[in-house]
Amino acid sequence: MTANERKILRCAVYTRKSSEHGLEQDFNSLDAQREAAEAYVKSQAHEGWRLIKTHYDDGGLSGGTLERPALQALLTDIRGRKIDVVVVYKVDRLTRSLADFAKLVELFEAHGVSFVSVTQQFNTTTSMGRLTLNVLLSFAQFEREIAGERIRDKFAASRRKGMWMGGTIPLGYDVHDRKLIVNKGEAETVKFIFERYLVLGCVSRLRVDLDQKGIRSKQRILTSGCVLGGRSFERGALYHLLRNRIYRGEVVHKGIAYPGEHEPIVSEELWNAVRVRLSDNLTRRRQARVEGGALLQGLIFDDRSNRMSPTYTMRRKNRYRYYISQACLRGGEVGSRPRISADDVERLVVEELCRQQNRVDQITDMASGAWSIDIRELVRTLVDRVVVHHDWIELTLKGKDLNHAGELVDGDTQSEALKSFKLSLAPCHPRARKEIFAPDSGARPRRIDHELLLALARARSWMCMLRQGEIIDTAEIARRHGLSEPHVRRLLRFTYLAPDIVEAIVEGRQPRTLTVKLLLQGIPLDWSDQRAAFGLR
Amino acid sequence: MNDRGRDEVDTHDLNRLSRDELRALWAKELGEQPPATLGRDVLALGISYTRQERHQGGFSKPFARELDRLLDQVLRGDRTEMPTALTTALPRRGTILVREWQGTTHHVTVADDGFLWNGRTYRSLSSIARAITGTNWNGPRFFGMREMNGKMPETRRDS
Repeated sequence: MTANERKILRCAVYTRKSSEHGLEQDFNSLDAQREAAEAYVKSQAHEGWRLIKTHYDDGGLSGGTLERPALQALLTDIRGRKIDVVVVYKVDRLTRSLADFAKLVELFEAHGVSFVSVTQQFNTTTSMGRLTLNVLLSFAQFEREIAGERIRDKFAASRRKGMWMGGTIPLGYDVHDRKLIVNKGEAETVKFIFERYLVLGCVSRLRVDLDQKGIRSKQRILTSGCVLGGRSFERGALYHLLRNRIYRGEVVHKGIAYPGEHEPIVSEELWNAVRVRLSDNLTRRRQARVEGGALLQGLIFDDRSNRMSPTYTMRRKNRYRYYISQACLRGGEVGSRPRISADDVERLVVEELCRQQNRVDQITDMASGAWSIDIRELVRTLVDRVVVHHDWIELTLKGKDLNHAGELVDGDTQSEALKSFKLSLAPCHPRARKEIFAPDSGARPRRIDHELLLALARARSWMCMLRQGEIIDTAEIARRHGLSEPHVRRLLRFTYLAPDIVEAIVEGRQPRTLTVKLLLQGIPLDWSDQRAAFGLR
Repeated sequence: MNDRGRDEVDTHDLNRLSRDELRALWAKELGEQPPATLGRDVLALGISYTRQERHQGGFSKPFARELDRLLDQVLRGDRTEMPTALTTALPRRGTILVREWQGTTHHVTVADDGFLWNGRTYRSLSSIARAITGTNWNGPRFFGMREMNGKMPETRRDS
């Protein structure tokens, strides 16, 4: 190459052709694009433009994404500084997305690459060029979005007409010519499932029942060869099946059912009966949940921000409910009042709420914790947090308020912020004094000898059983406990230790020398001899 | 306290007796046939224990009851259930239990045959607790004998 005053500019041609059929179909082919671009490069040869050998061609790929192999190769080469100019037939060949294009231009500029469109004369180095480019790309993007909407509209329109638009084929149907056709055998199964549900009245039981009867879900074979279904129904699948409007001959699009082109399988009567039963069960379950829970569950905390959980103790068939700090249960720093009577704190909160809402009728003497749905609703909607301090509770309400009709209105007319109230609480009793003074407990550290205690306990219980005839002889004891008979006999003597020695052992006051081993060596008959032998007093 | 060291109970004769003689003596002094399997040593110990107990006194009733309870736990291998607090709280005679109840402090003394409170002897702590509070209480619990350091009172989690 001769020393030229003009720098050599390496030009790369990028071509793309999506599967869309455009107006200039012939022209848009990859070869045509390349031809035009190469001609353009040749025409600029006097400027030092030289074509590089690599071809960057993307066939059948949309301009909506940057994930195109040839484009990525081009970008890699740009980063590798192997390219000075990128030539395309039209701007939209590079991308149809404004955001993507901005990214590309940025990359080009960063690597000193200019960008030329053969049929659209502009230069990205000038502001005017960039404006033109943006306008063009805005339209390109618009066009793309319109296409998407067109497809969605078409889909919705088809659904409205009741056409089957693909997806997994429900049990009871086959698909022929893109239409749902009733499969006689499966349709019977579907009807059976609906009827069986009415009989059993519960999906869980229905599941077990169907499983026992060997009724299986529809089997599908995917194009990949995977086989799905053909297994026992799960509860979720049954709920879906029992609520699938397809079986009423309808097609649902975005929550709206349209009469479908296919035949219904389930009669209206059966369908309605099942629907009523399903919603009945649902409300019953929800109600149980609302009624069962503690009123302030999840809302109440101690003053160290530990959640307080509902709990209770049973005394003589009475249930005493409490809230207890999680720190008590799981460890951690406990607040100043780690447990509180549920009745006390609930009453305090409800009374305050009712007072604020001018509702007096609400509080009646009812069973502990049996708050009405009304009250529960009131607490759930208004209370943000209840914090239990030593002798007061902090009640924080949400920035909402109920108007007098009982409807929820947004609190921004009053005060946006959370409102806090201080409610005083009877202080918990200080722990009553309970003390025990043992006679001459002395200063000697107590040391419970568990081995000794066990030996003592065994000896006494064995002797008791022997005397009552529950055990015949020492051989049997030895066998039961895997001990030797002489050992058992020696242990039996422990029964007759002097009472004060037993007291000392149980209280851990015995001398260190008094061990099982020592006692096994023999126990004197006389208590005073025992005391002397074992070092007591 | 009784004078335990020097007593007139003669135990030395037992050492000279044969097993059969000891069995006969046991039957006579304890009022029941001895278990067939016991050897001379245990027979002699049993007889001498009974004699000395009769003369000097054995466990106080409250202590004996709590001792049985405690040793039962030991046999069941319940070592966690047997904190030192429990064993220190065994009602050994002479132990004084102090309990404050609604502003009044009550003192109970453990005696040989029960518990002393307000100049009367009660068979159980529970009866004293009932007299104090007017309701039924577990006596040992009311007087803090079952209290374990740092352990929570029993509560059940709501399910």
